[in-house]
Amino acid sequence: MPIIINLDVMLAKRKMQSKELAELLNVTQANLSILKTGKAKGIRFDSLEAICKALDCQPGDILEYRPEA
Amino acid sequence: MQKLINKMKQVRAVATGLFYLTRIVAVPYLLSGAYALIAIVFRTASFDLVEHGRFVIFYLFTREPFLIGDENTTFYKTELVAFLLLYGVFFWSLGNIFLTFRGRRIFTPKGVQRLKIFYWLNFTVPALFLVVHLGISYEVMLMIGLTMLHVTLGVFAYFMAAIFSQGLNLQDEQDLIF
Repeated sequence: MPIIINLDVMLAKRKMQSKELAELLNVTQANLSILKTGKAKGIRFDSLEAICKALDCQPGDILEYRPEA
Repeated sequence: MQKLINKMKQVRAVATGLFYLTRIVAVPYLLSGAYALIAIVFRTASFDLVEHGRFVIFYLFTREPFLIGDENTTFYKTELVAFLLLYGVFFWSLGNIFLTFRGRRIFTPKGVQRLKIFYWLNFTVPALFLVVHLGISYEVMLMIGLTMLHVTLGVFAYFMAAIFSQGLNLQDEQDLIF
């Protein structure tokens, strides 16, 4: 999948733990882990909005396109 | 959304009622089948031969007739036991399908498996009985009727299994959408 989720990077930049973000987003840590580990097949706009709001960032800070070699 | 939740609650309530109903029907069939099998195989005190080549299986510890057989032949007795046990299995597996609709998630691998078992039973078992009955020309019309009924049920279950498989795939994909 050439779309990379840089949630770990943003969490580190904001010095926030996954558990804290999961609580802010009102999702389980297991669900957040699906996104963090790149297993997710898609992301809804409202989820993206909530993440951007919680981490005070732009969608581009979380999603990255890296062409497959 | 609330309308859908209420609808699903209704479906769960109906499924629960039908599940218990099918279990209530299945258990006596299975117990009667097992009881008849034991009485016939071991010739217990519950089994007795009567006039005109007939036989009787009494209620346990009584002389009150429970099952009366028209012919004391191996074929007749085998079929009597098989019918009782297999209808027990039929109602049990039908109940398992209703059980699927009681869960919070309808599309589950177990649900698909239950539907597959149900349609395979409905396709194969009556057909086998029909072949045997055709072979000996015994109650053929009755068996054709029963086979058609079970095959129709099997066809519905077959298409339901296909819908459930597709639903399961979509649900798995949906679970991976954050």
